[in-house]
Amino acid sequence: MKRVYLAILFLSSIAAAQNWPTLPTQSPAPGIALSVNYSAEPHLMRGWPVFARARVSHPQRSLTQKSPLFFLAPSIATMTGSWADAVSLRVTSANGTQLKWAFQRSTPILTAQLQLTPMQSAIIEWQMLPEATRGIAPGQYFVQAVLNASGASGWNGTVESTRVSVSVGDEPTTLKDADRYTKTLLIVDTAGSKLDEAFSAADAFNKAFPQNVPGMELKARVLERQKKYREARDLAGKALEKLFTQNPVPKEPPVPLLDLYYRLDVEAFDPSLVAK
Amino acid sequence: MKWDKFSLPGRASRFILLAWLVSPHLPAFAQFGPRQTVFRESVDSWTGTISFTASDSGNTPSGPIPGSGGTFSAQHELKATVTLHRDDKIGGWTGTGVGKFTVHESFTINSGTGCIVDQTTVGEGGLSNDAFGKPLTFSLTLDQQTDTWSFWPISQYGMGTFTADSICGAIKMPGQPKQQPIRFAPLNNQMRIPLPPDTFHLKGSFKVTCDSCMNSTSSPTFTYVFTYDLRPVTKELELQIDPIGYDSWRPEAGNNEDDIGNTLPVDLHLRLSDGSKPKVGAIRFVIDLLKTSKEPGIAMNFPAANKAKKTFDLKMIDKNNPKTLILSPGGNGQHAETVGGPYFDYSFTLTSYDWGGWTILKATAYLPGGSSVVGHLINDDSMKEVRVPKRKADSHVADAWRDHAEGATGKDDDDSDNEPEGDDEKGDGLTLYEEYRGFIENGKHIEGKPNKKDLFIRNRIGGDAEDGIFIFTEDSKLEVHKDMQDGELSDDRLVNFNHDQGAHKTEQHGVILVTDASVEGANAWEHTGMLNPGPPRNTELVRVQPASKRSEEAGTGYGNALQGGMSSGDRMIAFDRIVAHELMHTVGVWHHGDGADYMWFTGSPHLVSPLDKNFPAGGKPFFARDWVYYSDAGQLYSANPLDSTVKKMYIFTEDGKDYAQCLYKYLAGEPQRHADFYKQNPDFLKDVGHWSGAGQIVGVRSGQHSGDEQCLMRYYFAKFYPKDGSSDTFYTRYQCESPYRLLDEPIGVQIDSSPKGTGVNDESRTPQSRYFDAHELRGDCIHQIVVNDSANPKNRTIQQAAQ
Repeated sequence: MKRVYLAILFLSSIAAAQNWPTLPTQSPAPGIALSVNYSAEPHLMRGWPVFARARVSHPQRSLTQKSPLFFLAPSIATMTGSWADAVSLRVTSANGTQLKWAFQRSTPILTAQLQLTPMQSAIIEWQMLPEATRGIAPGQYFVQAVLNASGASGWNGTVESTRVSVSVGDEPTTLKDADRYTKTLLIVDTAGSKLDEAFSAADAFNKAFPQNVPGMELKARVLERQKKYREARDLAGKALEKLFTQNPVPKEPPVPLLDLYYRLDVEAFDPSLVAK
Repeated sequence: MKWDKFSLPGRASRFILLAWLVSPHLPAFAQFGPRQTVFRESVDSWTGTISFTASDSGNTPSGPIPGSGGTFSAQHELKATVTLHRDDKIGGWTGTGVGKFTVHESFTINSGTGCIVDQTTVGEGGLSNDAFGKPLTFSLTLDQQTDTWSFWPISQYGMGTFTADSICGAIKMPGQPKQQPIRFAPLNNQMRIPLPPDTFHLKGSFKVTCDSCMNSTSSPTFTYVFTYDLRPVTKELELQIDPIGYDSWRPEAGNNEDDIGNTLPVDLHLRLSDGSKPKVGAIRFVIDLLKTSKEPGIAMNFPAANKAKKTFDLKMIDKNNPKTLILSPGGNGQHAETVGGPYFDYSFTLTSYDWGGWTILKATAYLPGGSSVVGHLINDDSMKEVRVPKRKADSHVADAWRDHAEGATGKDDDDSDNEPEGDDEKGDGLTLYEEYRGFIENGKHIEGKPNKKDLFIRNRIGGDAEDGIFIFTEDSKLEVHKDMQDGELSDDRLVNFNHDQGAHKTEQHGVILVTDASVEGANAWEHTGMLNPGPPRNTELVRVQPASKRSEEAGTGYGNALQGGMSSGDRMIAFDRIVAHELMHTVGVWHHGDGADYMWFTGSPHLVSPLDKNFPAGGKPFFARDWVYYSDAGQLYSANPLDSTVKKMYIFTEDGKDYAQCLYKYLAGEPQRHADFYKQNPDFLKDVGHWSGAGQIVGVRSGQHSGDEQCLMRYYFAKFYPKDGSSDTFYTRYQCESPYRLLDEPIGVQIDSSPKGTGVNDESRTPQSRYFDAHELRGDCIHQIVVNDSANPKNRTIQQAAQ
């Protein structure tokens, strides 16, 4: 069951299960939620990149029901576009003035139609470059993801996410470790195919804070994307060693790091995956 | 309602007089005073008793002849039970009486001429007919020109015996008794008895003098005492209070305490008991709101406690009412009176400012003549204090809500929500009243579910945590309110801090999710690290590491291949599962075993193989603990493998192959791989499982990896597990043919309802259950859920249980 529950990223058309009952159009509304910089109340430093992720979920979410299906189609005006064109980010200032920020979709979503079972949700990601954020005046802003669908078929209507409260300011002279990590994470997550840029940021942080476990994990993830599996594996292993040496019986294990390490273990030593 | 009590301000009379004058139904022969009018309009009949009694003796008045005069003794009595009916011909009431009269008069009169006359009049009889055979009737009439009344018989004569004996000198002349009409009562239709100001019940006594009521020709003035006890038979005059939509109305609030929520229109109807309008309207209506609530804020969690005001939750305000409704200055909308009457009907409006407000509505009609009628709820004349909203006498919860809220049958302080059943701890820390009054979530009002446990989440992570919350909601079966915003939980996470008179039991906490860049994974954090998971009061924060971008990982062609023991599908939901898992902790769900159930290979086991310099020819590779190795020309080798202190350890793949041989074969089969391996991994020989230092996670029986395979409270990292009953033999999830690839171990997103091992933990599995059933104190997670912050959930600490 759980394998059907997927956060669908850049979802492709699903041809399967065409005999499932479909959700009637016009009702009810799907869910939509947004995080900016991994948070609902981020502090955005001018000159840092911004990363936003919206999640569109089935209107009748269920872990057990496979139907009815939810469809989201391209808008009538842009029949050649993607369902994702119906989702946008709305930025307002503290006094309610609508603003335009230079968000760009991180990766193009070319799929025409979104099709979700009640178990599923779909993700759209945006980013804003450091040059763009430098021009934002310090202050309080609100960002919402808005789904406005007027498709020839599928669900039609408008639904908006809970507001993400964004406070914009200048980077302080001295950054806290966690903030510096977040900045690095943002650079990595918005680097796209510029892996050298991502590595440079992750490596710089790792060198500045060699004992910082999240920093080690982040660098390992970049190394993995660079297909440097063994180096990535070793770094992830060191991160685990550090954690378990400090606390052999943690209340909660470092799940994402363990998952990463196990995956790298295979990538590093499985001949079918390791690039020679 | 019996209209027995009333009062009337003097000024009212002019209104009733006006009404009287303009009414086409009123007889024209008289003008009635205001109290008379009220009596006329209200009383159909009278029943009761009356009596006229008079008794006197003394001297008779002197006659014109000197020396004349005499003495007398007289007693009259009439006692009757009367029934009088309205008689518009006389502008009063007429009827008959059952009873009798008695008359006894004795006069001794000196004529002054030498004669003395003894006159005796006696009589006794019924009251059906008068002395002339005509029906004897009695009348109660309203006196002209005054606001008074009179009572009189139609005839004052009954039959009696009159005897007159005379003595003139020595001559006695006895008289012959003679049957004749005799007087027994006064006949006075101008008695001018005042009408009582506050009741229709006529009761009292009144003196009536009569100059010629005795039967003797020498009658002195006779004074009767008229005693009466007459009860009205009235059409009930009633004031109906008719809240429009009363059955379905519940109070609401605006955005803050100064904003109007909703309104309740109320109609007042002055009516007679037969539903008809009375001929006289009310001079004014007086409306009171009694015992009105002043709960802080507008809902249980809004606004913040330091901003919440304790103002009246229901009011009458000018804006929503006619100009003829005058609010009392400084009365805070709790008292109002109408002007500009008379009114038979009147409409006004109550205005609500709170989702849980209540009041008692009382209305009184003041009528001409000083009377008043206290209103009652339409169709329920026993309810003179109308509960708003409509509710039980001992409740502040609207019936309208109870009607549609499943399970809302208990008292206001009930907190017996039992879905999910959880750890046998009922409730969610919120009383029925609190669930009814409700909460503000993301700026909108919501209600709790009386039969379902409500949990409130402040999601500071945003959309990244949505799917995890979804999994948690689905699995826990709780009523999760996930969109709480800043200011909707107090600084100390309370959700029901705005309480006063409404039923309240527990300071109930919500749960806060935050992104924390310093955390690896996630944890349900509280600062002491000592508290057990759940109820929500125990968890200050759920801290989750940032959900960094994973799209490349998912999109770079791993397909559905198993990766590191986890399917790509599982990996995509791993973050969501973390969130759901930690949320389960906040409501009291434990791991399937304790942290102490992790087990690590001790002694850093090494692979001892022919690759080692001193390995004996023909020997088979094996694992050994506490091995000392040395480095030689860039390669690592074990010390003497024949040392008697060597502690061997046996590891088998799940299909029964010796993993030491598998690993050796893998490394030895390709020299470059071997060399490269050592070059890349100088610490490899420290342990078997590729990560240095700390050793390997070995899942043990009934530890964290045990129980239902699909439960999200179970962990899935162990690479090894002990062979059942053995201390030196283990199984591994590694595969012989690909010694670094783990067999899949699914991660669950469900919640179990049994500690029984399933899937990889199934007891019938080959070669064996990996980690067996959950610990006897754990598992069956759905029955560990506890939300109520006043609860003391079962302590499932394994170490404590062992003591």
